[in-house]
Amino acid sequence: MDELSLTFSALADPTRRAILARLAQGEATVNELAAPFNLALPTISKHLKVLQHAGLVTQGRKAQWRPCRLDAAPLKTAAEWVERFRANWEERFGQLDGYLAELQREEKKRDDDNE
Amino acid sequence: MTTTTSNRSATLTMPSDNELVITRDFNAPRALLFDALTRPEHVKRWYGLRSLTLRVCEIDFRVGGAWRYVLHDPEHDAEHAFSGEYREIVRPEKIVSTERYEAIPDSDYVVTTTLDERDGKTTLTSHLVYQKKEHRDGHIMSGMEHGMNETYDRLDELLAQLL
Repeated sequence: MDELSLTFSALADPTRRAILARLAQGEATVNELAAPFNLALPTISKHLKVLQHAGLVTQGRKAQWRPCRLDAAPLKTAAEWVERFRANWEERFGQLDGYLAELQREEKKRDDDNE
Repeated sequence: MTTTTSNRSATLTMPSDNELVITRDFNAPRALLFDALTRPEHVKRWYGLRSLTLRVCEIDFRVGGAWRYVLHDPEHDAEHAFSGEYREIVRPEKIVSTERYEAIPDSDYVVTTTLDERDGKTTLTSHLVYQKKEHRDGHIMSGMEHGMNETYDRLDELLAQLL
């Protein structure tokens, strides 16, 4: 899987999104992350593995508690792709705006001519 | 005509893994917008992009009828064909159709477009439901790839001039 697919896959789960939201506030240990979810540690570890694989979370190697940290760079890439897709539609809708205005002017002109 | 106000720009949301919702307001009554979206003589006038021209626009606008658009990319002399069938038509408020990018077989997704009119303005909502998350993400990435290629081509040109 390419990097972007990994990011989208990682974001496709509500627990993982909540973990990222928590880490956006600052680093946390696996125990701290597990606490609000009422989930078993292995389940949290599984989610963390997916997030780490996507490059969204890094875990300290040396510190005793191995705190988890957010790396937002892949999120930025994903947001840029979505924005590009949106911009293509925006360009097309902008053309439709112009065309609708033209149609309405023609319609008005026809009505005026008929009066 | 002004198109700069914030409520006029398209919004994009992903309510679940395999869905995409595009919303946009238009300064026109919905009957007119409905025609602009569904009659080939209208669609041909606006559907292209700066980088892509609409070469084929076939619309058999009835339930069970087929549609097919072919976009041409002159820069790479490549064609991108999209097609599908109409499943439900409620003039002038709703269209349900299937859609596929022909280069990717079995990638059909279902598009429900609804038009809500208020004070002469119309909100268009396109709800896209894909078979799989991968298809949705691929669709989002497709536009970017095209744009990226263009960017790289321009960079190539620039480098060619500089070197």
